[in-house]
Amino acid sequence: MAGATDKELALAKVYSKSMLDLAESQGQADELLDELHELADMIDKNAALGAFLSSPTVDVTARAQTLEKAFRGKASDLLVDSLQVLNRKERLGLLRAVCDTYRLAHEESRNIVDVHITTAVPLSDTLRGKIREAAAKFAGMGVELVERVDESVIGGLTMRIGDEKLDTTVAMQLRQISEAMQQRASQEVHGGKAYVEFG
Amino acid sequence: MKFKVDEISSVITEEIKQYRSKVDVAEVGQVLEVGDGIARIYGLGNAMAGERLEFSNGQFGQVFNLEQDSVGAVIMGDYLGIKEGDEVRRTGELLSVPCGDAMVGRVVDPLGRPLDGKGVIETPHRRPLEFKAPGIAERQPVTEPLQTGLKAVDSMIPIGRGQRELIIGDRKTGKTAIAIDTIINQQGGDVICIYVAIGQKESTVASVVGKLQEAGAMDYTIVISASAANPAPLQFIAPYSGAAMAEYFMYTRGGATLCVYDDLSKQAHAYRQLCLLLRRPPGREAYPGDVFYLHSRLLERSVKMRDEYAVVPKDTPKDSLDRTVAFKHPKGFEAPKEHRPDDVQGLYHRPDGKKHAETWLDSLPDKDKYRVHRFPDSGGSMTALPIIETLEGEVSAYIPTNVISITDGQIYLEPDLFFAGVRPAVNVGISVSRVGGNAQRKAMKKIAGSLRLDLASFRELEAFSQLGTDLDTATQHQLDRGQRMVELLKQPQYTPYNVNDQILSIYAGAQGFLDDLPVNQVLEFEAALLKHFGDEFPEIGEELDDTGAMSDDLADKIKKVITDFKSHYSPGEKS
Repeated sequence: MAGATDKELALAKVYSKSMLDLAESQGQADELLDELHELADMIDKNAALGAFLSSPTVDVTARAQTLEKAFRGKASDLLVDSLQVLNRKERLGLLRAVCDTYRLAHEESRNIVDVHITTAVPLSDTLRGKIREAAAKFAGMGVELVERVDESVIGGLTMRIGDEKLDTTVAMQLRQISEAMQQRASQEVHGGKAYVEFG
Repeated sequence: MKFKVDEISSVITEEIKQYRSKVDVAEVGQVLEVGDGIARIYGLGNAMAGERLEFSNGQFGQVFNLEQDSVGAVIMGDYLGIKEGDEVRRTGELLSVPCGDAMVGRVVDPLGRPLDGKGVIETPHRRPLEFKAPGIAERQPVTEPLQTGLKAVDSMIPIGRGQRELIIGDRKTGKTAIAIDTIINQQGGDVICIYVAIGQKESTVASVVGKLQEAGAMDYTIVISASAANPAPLQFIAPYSGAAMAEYFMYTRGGATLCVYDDLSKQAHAYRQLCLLLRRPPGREAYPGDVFYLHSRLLERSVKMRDEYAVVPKDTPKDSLDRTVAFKHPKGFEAPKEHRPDDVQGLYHRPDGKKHAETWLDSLPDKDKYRVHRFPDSGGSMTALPIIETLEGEVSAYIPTNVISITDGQIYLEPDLFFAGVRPAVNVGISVSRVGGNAQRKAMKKIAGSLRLDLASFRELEAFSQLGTDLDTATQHQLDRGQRMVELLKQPQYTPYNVNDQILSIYAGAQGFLDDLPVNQVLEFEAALLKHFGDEFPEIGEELDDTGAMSDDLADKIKKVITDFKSHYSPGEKS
């Protein structure tokens, strides 16, 4: 959830909750999620679009017209209407946060929890299946895997469910060994043991 | 220089052999924003108020605000290495500091990490930073003196063990000097001293440590330094950390301790900074609403603990702390008043309780099998000398009034006196000690009883006499006496006086033996007189030590010695 301050998140929650309520009543909750994701990805890739949406120097009415032209017919009416409301309130800068909070609220309503997995190499399908199973058992509800590849973990994986984080990575183990060695060495050095000979 | 490769590699091998891989389970959150020593964290839904947090760069934090969607935390160290999105781990524990004998003689930061380059501090003991002050039942009135070694303070503003005495004054009026002299004066005694420097220049702290070392005072002193360069959170916790270290000695071995908080105005500034950054609503002078509690909860931890006695079997070891060995009075609280125990465990509290225990022991048929035992971990004390810096003598500002109302008296220092050469620059008119009088030695109380009022009236007369009017002999006499007493109470820094010397020299002044000496010879005469007493009449000092009181016979003897000495004394003479 990094990238947004707690105030932005609180604001985004208000919008995403309303959007979810509407989408659920129209049976479009999943579609809206996909569309929001797509839009958020587009903004991430295209900085100019992000700037256009969030910049306060762009006139609100001009932006409304552009949004209408660009999206009406191509995306669901619910999404376009939501964008228009966000635009009118000058909150389009929150789009990324709205997308995140919408996803969480959507998962919560389906009793699903996000599980963040970080590994050194991309997961294979069999491994993914196993992890999903283990994570579901641990969480006691349905899970949605959010995968991330980070070479610096070297091996093993970290799994974060809510605030709980399980870490089995090689990087963590190396860090633990190095801390233990530093502590031991500092105690020994202060206890009078010399690892270096002078002269 | 040659590395001992074999030894290093053997350490590494050993460490790897012993390593057992475990799954690292932690509760984590992510930094939403960070800056100016505070961080806002997303997640950590179960975090407790005041809990210690660990940032991914190894720095510690403390939970301050628990909000609906986030946690506001302060960072105890370098916050520049922490970025948005970084992981923050809960530790499940409150902030605590190492304490124990290993800390004594060391200079540490508020988290107990050494700053003096003397290596790691190995101690198994830790105490929480915040600790609830003992209640009424666990306390005992302040009756034992804590000698500062300063004539002006010990005679007129006496401080007792367990008292909180504020030292207040403008900058450069000698506030720290009084505290340092008090620490130096504890040499050879049983008091563990803790000097907490908050928001001061590193150079100032270094020179204080140097002075303490020079005087041999570091043998019983811990210095905690949160200098002006340290982040505000460290400055804020420094006094609590000092109190926690003192509490170890007070609670576990009934020791006497002295805490100097130098100074609490800077701590209040640091706390104000934190609270404003965490968006807590500002109040008067922009301090947060709980700034009174900030100081009251700290100073309330200064205490004189009750002595605990019990009637125990004769073979109980002297250092026994086990309360269950107490031989309980069979009638409990129904026992006659003169041997009624003070609690359900059958213990007797405070000096009165000791008498009750002794009376009961005497009344026992098999009294030879028992004795009255004093539990050695009871009766500890923590004396606090908080320091407050005023601006232009403004004592009615927010923080000074708060701390004045919390403490049991104040020593007020004035720049005018300081620059007039009266050092320590104590304004005796408005300096008070609310409980110390009971703690003063009888002899001192007797001779210095009226000193404070006399000096205050002298100050008024002096102002009046400057108008140049003719004065009658009585007034002139009072002025002469006053001038000599003021001169006599001057004292250079780092030269604490033994309490007997103080009694003798104040006695000489108060009895008028100095009235006919020129004012500029008073201190010289005093020095010679005290040397004379020390060399020729050591028995007078011994008697003062033994009885603590000044009997009429002793007073006559002292008078005679002074008269004799004065008749032989000529200025410039060294003995």
